[in-house]
Amino acid sequence: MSSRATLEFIVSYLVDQPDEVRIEEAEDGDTIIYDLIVHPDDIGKVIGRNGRTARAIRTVVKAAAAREDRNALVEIVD
Amino acid sequence: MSTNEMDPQTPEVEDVLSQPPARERARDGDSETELSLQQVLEDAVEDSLDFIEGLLDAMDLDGEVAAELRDDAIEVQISGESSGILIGRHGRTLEAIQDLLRTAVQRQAQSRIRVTLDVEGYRDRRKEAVENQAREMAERALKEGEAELPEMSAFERKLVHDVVATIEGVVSFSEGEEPRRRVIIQSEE
Repeated sequence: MSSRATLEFIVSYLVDQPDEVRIEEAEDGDTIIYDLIVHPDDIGKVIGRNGRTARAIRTVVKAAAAREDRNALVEIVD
Repeated sequence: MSTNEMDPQTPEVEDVLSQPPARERARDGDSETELSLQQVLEDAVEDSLDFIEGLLDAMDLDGEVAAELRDDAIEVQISGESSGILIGRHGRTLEAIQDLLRTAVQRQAQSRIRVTLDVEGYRDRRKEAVENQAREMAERALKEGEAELPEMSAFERKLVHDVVATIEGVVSFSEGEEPRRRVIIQSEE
């Protein structure tokens, strides 16, 4: 699934502890919901100032999902 | 009311804010481990290529990627058939990828290096279109008192504000929340 690969790739570049990244996946019709879990010290890095990084992640993951005629949501679990 | 739009070029990676700029850091360390600014920038060019190539790969998209240094800033270009997907509606996907690229590169370099991304010359084409639209709407505002532009990215709103600032008798400000934020132009009377 390229939307999942896209999320994994981006997050691996942003966090200090890539080994602590977990992605849980649920489906709701055409929508894939990704729960993103990172080390507590890395949460700020995937959210960014004013949530800007989180917004960018969601936009790009959605673009990847759209290629598969899917919608994708990314929830950052804290 | 403000005519100042947040500068979309402003890097915004809080984890590097505490770091001195590369130029200063290069002066620090001892002679053996010292990294020159030039070396930091060259490494950042490689990081930019790696990030975009890896992202295209993850998204399962084809594209040619080029990155070059110009005035201590990194300019990354993607070309190929995937441009529509990479640009997205109103260029929002392009903006998002640029944000992530910048964050990733600055984090790696621990320096606020300027990084811009373009896909198939989209920014230049879009810049011209947005600036024309800004001029038309400024004229309308002069006649009718107010004119509203469609929702735009921060980069595009900045282009509009810059055009309006050169036209006498009108002011501009942004209204609404992202991603619906848009520019309003008003006559000064």
